[in-house]
Amino acid sequence: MAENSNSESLTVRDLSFSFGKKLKVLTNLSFSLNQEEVLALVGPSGCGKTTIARLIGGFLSPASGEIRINGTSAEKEELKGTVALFSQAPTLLPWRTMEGNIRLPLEFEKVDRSGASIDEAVETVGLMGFEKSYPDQLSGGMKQRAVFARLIVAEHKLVLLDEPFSSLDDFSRQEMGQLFIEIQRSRKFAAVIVTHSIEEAVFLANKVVVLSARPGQVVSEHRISFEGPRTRELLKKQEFFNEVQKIRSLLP
Amino acid sequence: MRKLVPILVGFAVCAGIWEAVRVGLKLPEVVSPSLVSIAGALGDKAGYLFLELLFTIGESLAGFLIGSTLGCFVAFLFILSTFFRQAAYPIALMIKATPLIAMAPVVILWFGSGLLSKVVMSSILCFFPVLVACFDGLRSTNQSVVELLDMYGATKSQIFWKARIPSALPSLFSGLKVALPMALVGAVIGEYLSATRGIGYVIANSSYHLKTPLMYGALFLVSATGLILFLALILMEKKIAFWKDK
Ligand SMILES: Nc1ncnc2c1ncn2[C@@H]1O[C@H](COP(=O)(O)OP(=O)(O)O)[C@@H](O)[C@H]1O
Ligand SMILES: [Mg+2]
Repeated sequence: MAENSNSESLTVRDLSFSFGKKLKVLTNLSFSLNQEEVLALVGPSGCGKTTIARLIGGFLSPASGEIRINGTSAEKEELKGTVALFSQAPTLLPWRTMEGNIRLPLEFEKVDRSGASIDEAVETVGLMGFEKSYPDQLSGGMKQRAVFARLIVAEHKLVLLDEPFSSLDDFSRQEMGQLFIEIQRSRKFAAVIVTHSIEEAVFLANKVVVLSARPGQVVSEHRISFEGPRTRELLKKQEFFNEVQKIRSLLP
Repeated sequence: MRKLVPILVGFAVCAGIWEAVRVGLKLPEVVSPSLVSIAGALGDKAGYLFLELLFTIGESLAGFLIGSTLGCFVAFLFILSTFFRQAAYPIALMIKATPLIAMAPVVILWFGSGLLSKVVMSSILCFFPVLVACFDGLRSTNQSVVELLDMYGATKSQIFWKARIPSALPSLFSGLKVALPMALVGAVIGEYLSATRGIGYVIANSSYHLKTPLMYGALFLVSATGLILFLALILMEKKIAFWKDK
């Protein structure tokens, strides 16, 4: 296999992990993600997807194997601010206004970026006029947008989403997916998205990695490339259906 | 304005029942004075009662502030050290389980029969509910908020100030709401037992001299004060801890 870890944002090699002695969750898992690309992880419930995301995010330590981010096997401390993990319901501080929430990451950075444009981020996610609103006053979709604005401000290099949007209805879910891809394209970070929806995986990702039931192993990898941008139109196209069908037939 | 209507109706009904029972059962004036004579006593002694009430409010608020601050401080220590918590919790529980009346002679012995002993009694009563509520709030910080800040590279003390403290506020306020009426209880009981100032002393003294209208008037003032302080605290809560807890 060709080694070209410089162009890889994330390299996972021979990763194994267990909870305690008995519960083997991952064995010899390997996959990689190029810079500026999106990888979707799909697999049956309980196969270890969340565990993988938490390992990459540095919240768990692997039993064996290697996780390289931007070509170096970084320690958790060095990853602060570089890698971001978001899971399920959007986390906002209820005592801060939306703007205060979006500004949050800047308060912990070593370099002073307090001049970073909050307005631009707010505008990108379409939340102008709600800067002074508190999270309790925002809908689920708006909270998700605020999280995206915060993500823009934080300038992460690698973003991990663990079953995002699962608290949203189908329509907002699709809309948020599309918004995320637009942000990811313009801000050029790499992303790993854990999802149980194959449609969502195919719609969002450049590469879909299918996992087996526990202990999780890679069943197959699919490169996804469509002509043109990923918009709602794509969902109606035959080539989209074909990709989804192909992956569904491979699911364990 | 519309909100005031049911409140006024409630008070009017209570006043009506008072008068009806008094007149209907032909209760003697000295046991159950008419509202008119109670109001008269309040009016006659307005200046005096106002000063004594201020005295009591001062003691209560001082006790409330000291007891609550200590409660919060010990709650912080509980979070920082499990050993300290295990050592101190039984003692705190014992203090909590001791009736104030039983403690009062000791407190008066130590702090005299002046203002200080009342402040101490108030603080003792306020301490425990605030300790429990504050500790609960600090302990049950939403884990995903802590992880978020950690992910952004926040230090432990930044996480404490920017996540744990604010997220403990709603719980802290529910403790303060229990503590505030207790503060008044502590001060008034202290005054009742031994004092020459304060509204508790007025109640004790007027009851001794069978000046019942004055006694009821003073009683009413204490209740009204408790209510107003409580409402003020709720207003503060709405300003400071305005978000839904969890
Ligand atoms: N903290 C934990 N302690 C013990 N077992 C766990 C823990 N977290 C998850 N597991 C187990 O590990 C397996 C993988 O979990 P997870 O990574 O959450 O799966 P997925 O996200 O794919 O649904 C499951 O069987 C789950 O029960
Ligand atoms: Mg999961």
